[in-house]
Order: sequence, then C-alpha cells, then structure tokens
Amino acid sequence: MRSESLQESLSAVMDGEAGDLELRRVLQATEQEPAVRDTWERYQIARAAMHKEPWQGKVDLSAGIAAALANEPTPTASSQPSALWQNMGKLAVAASVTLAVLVGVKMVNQENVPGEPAIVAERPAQEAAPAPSTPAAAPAVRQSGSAVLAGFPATSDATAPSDWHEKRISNYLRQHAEQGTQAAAPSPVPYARAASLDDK
Amino acid sequence: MAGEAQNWLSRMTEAAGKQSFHGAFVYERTGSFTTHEIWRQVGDDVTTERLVQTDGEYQEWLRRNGKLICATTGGPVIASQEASQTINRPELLEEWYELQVLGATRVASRPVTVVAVKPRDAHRYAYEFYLDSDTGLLLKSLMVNERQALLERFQFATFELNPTLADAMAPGKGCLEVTDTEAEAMVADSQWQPAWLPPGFTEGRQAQLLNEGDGQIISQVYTDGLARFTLFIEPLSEEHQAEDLRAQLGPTVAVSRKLNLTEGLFLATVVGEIPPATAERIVGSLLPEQGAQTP
Repeated sequence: MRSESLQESLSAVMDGEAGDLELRRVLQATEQEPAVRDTWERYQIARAAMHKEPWQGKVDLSAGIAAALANEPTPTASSQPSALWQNMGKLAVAASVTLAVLVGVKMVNQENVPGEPAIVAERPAQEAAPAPSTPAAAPAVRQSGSAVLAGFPATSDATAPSDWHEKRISNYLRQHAEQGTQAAAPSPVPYARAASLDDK
Repeated sequence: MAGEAQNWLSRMTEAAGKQSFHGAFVYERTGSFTTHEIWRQVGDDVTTERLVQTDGEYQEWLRRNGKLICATTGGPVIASQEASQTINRPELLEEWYELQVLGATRVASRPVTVVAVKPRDAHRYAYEFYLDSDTGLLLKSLMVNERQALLERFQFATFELNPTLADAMAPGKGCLEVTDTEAEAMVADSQWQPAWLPPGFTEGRQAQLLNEGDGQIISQVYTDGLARFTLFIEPLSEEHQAEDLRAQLGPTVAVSRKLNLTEGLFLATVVGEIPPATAERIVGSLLPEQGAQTP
C-alpha cells in the first residue's frame, strides 16, 4: 500500500468515513509497519484528547473495530454491505450533508415527501424517536425511519424555500437565540448560538 | 446522588449572578466552530457582561443588567423580558430529566464536577454540565442527542476568577448602540396555542406581538426549565409565500407548517433545541384537523 494512499485511508478512518476494506487495510498496516502504527497512535491520542468525554462511552476504537472485523468474513473489493446498512449510511451521510449546507441557511423543504408531516404529527412520541435509554446500537432500524422523517429528501427534485421564507427562518433562529440571552445567565451558549448564525 | 446533582445545578444558577470572571471559550456545533471571549463584572447594583467573538467576523455584545447596550449587529432588538429559562428550581427538572453527578475532571485548568442530565422521554436532549468545583460556574456544557451524537459544545479554554476588568468592559467602536423595539405583550389566545406540548413544557413568559416590516409576528417561548423552543406565527400573503419546511442548524431545529384557517393562511414555525420529531408534533397540533384529534 502506498504511503500517501495509506495516509488518506488513515484520515478517512479517523473521520469515520472509511469503508470496511479501507479500515481493514489500515489495521493490517498498523500491525506490520511501525511508522504507520505510530501515526495511528498519534491520531488515536489526538482523537481521545478531543473526545474524552463520558457521553461517548469508553470503547477503545481500535480494539473494538478489530474485534468486530475479526468476526466477519473478509470482504472483497466487490462485496457489498447489506442493503439496510447501505441505506442507513447514505441516510446518515445525507443528513450530515444537509446540516453542512444549512450553515448558509440554505434549506430544502419537504413538500416532496407526501404525507410525512401528518405521520410525524400523529406518531406516538415513543415511536418518533428512540428512547434515550436504549444503547446507541439498538435504535438503528428506527434511526433509518427518523432520518427519513427528518425531511431532508436527498432527491434532486426537492425545491428550495422562497427567499422570504429563508430570510424568515434566519430571523426566527436569531430571535430565538437572542431571547435565550439574559442577565447573568448560567451560560453564554445562546450568545454563541446567535453568533454562529453569522459564522461563514 | 440526584440530590447532590440538584445542589450543583442550584449552585450553577446562583454563581452566575455572583461571580466576576474573564475567560475564553469555544462554541462548536455541526458546521460551525467559533471562539469567544467573555468578561462578566458583578457589582453591587450593576452586572455588566461583554462578549466578543475572537475569530472570523468581529462580533460584540455588551449587556448591563441583562439589557443589551450595544451589539455589532446594531439595529433594533426585541427588549428581552426576563425569560424564565434558568434552572431556578432543579427539583422540578427531576421529573423530566435524570440528574447524576458523574465525577470530576478539569476544564480550563480548573477542577470541575460533571453533572449528567439525561431526558426521561424522547422529547428533549441530554446535557453534560461541567461546573467549577470551587464556585459552581459552568465551564463546559455538551448537548447530546438520543443517538449519542454531540450537537453542541461550549467550553472554556482559559478562565480567570475576579480579574481586573477596568478597561475590558468598555465596548469597542464596532459595537453599535442598540435601540429597543418594545414588543407588545399579548393576551393569551387559545387559537395560537398548540393542542399538544411535550410534557413539562410551559409558557416561558407572555406571548409577544412583534412588528416586522408590514406584518406582525406572534412569538411564544416554551421551556421545561432547561430546553427551550419558540413558536412564531404570522400571516402569509401574495408577497409572503412559504411551504412546509424543516431545517436543522446544529442543535436547533426549525419546522414550518402552513395553517389554512378561516381567517386566512398563516405560517407557524417552531424553533428550538428539541428533537425534530417533537417539533413536528407541536407545530402539527396547530393544524385545525390535527388539533381537534389530539388529546
């Protein structure tokens, strides 16, 4: 494996964007090449430093992935994950892409998802979102549902909201954030939220 | 343990009104990472707070006793009434969140106590508060969704208690004087109240009527003591057209629905730090046919 492409794979792994095959390559390389292992460890330390917080659990990433992969048949370049998994990945990516797009408060409306609003409105709350106490892995199936419900259709025929509506939403976001600021609030988070609306 | 966590949250709210400090913090949400500096001076009668964004575009706010004095955005702002958003009564939070002291660590070189606030239902997010072990001041907070994804991070990098603030409290020249537009308080009108609210959420203060260009917007804040959302309603017209929409900006969701009422077409929008499905349901319960069915 060329070192540039290995570097790229390493980055992809660290960003959570690597496919199974790529991940396996990196893990193999870390076992065989000391230099790669050092880089991997540095990334791990940096990552741990960034994310050493209780909300993330205490799973050793490398060990966890290696163990998970050990129980799977070796993937070949042509092998595909299950259809469900593939879809979920896409939905997840689609959602995060939308979030990124929203930074410029560019929005996609959901008039092309017929019936969805009604379904959401009528859905019992417990079904609409996974219970917070369930382990992270459990809500996966529902998650695919809620990603659809998230109303960010990845289809290209989604239309943009009117200029007026888009401006209004920005306005609302700002007002909502500013209303949260107050005398000696315990946290300046609402200020920061308001400021981040202008972050370019 | 819950009692201990409650005590810490009480201390957090009290400390905010008592302590002078200066610090630099980061704010991170999906798609945005910004750095800021804050000075808070608590005097006998006057509390002054100055905030500056230290990266990207220059932004500044100066508040005196909660009233916005100047801001880089300038222009009119809504005279903010005291929103009952603070955790004044942590014992009430306990009904909707599970409170727990997780342990101790360090933030901005200071020992902190970590309090986890976990929702008891799917209508709110989880939080982690990192409170200065000495004063109770909030030095870091995280908001996490039900899939354990981080929605928002606020975290001090440097922090100094009781600093010398003399010069630092003067606004910069980019901080433009702010004119208040008085929002009219509004008599409660059940027509504009959602038929369904997530349990525990109550009106944060009286509804307001805001003048916005040629039209008026009704705005109403709801809070469970920690999470907060605002409902905006305004008439639609030929020039002001909108479709149903849902947008997510970091921890904040915005859901718009058109309301076809006998009085005409209106746009209802819920904006807040609540799960999208919950926001959908709230705004959906304003629809005439939905409202009638909802218990």
